[in-house]
Amino acid sequence: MTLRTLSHAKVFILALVAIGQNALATDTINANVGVTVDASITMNETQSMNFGTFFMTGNTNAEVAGTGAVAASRTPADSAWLQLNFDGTVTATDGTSAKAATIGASATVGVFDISGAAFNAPIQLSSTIMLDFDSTAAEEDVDGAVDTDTMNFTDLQIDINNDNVADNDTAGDTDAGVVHATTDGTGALQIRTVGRLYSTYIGAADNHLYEAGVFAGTYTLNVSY
Amino acid sequence: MPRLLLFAFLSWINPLCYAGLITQEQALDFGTFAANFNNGSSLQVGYNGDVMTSGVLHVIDAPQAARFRLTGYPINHVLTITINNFSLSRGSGDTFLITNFVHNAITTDGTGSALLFVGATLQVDAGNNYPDTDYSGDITVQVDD
Repeated sequence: MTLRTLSHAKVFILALVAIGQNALATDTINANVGVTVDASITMNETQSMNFGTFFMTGNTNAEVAGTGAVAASRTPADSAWLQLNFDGTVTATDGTSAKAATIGASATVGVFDISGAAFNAPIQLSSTIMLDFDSTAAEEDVDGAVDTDTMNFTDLQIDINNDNVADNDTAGDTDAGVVHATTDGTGALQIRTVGRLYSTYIGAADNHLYEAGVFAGTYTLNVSY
Repeated sequence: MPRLLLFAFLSWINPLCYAGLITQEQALDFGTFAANFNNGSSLQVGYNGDVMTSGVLHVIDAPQAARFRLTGYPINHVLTITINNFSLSRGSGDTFLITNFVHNAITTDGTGSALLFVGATLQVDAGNNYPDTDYSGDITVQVDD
């Protein structure tokens, strides 16, 4: 071997070593990523709200203060009202131009079963007719089957822990009217509802008497996280 | 003689030609959650598996970080990990952005191997419609030595 040949070999080796040390490698992998959304909450009415049987006259004058008034800012003047209590009793209060009295039959609170929610999770209950701090809740008509006479149902209250006390937020904050509750360890909760039924101006026909018969209406209750 | 030297050299230099291999051992999975989609929220899983949420979001089934095994890399070598944002979709409609990736520091061991743990954040955009179902997407992990 000549010195010249050996010299060429060294140069070649050094070059390859330099290439080997400076080469950068990039590797990639694609992999699947997933998530499942399960945000639906089931709420079923298991017992309808029922004010039982009562006597009520309609207003002889149109109500000027408005109905929906538990928290006082819209205390009605002319309307009589029935308050369904959480213990199943009904309290009747006369207005200045209408009267109401219970006859004592089988009132029942509304009962709803919530299920399928996240475990031990905060939830919110709301309705357009819920009692709030300023009593500006809307009303739902409760109509008779016989004629067009109507009562107003509003001031919905909710008991979330079966202690016969309304849990509506009436503090006047941003959550006014909303009820905050927490699901149990299975994502379930049972709530109870009550409300008020107000007389309305039904004109002078029939001497301002509501026709005897069944009056019925609906209300909407919302549950969300 | 020069040919003999070249053969010996190539045999010696072979270990310098790395063939990195990335193998997924555990998928990145954000589990199952419920949320109020009227509001923005997020679900974060750390590379160590820790879970954090923001906004009105409730974890039903716990998320898990991804785990990748890296082999065939230079020994005792710091590797660089690159992951770009991507989305989870149900095939149509609104998607979840996956972002803010986190991973452990990667230095290969004496055999040129390492374990890479990857976490990320799932973003829920306020007002979007996210029906109850499975959402999926692909993560691309790039490893540079």
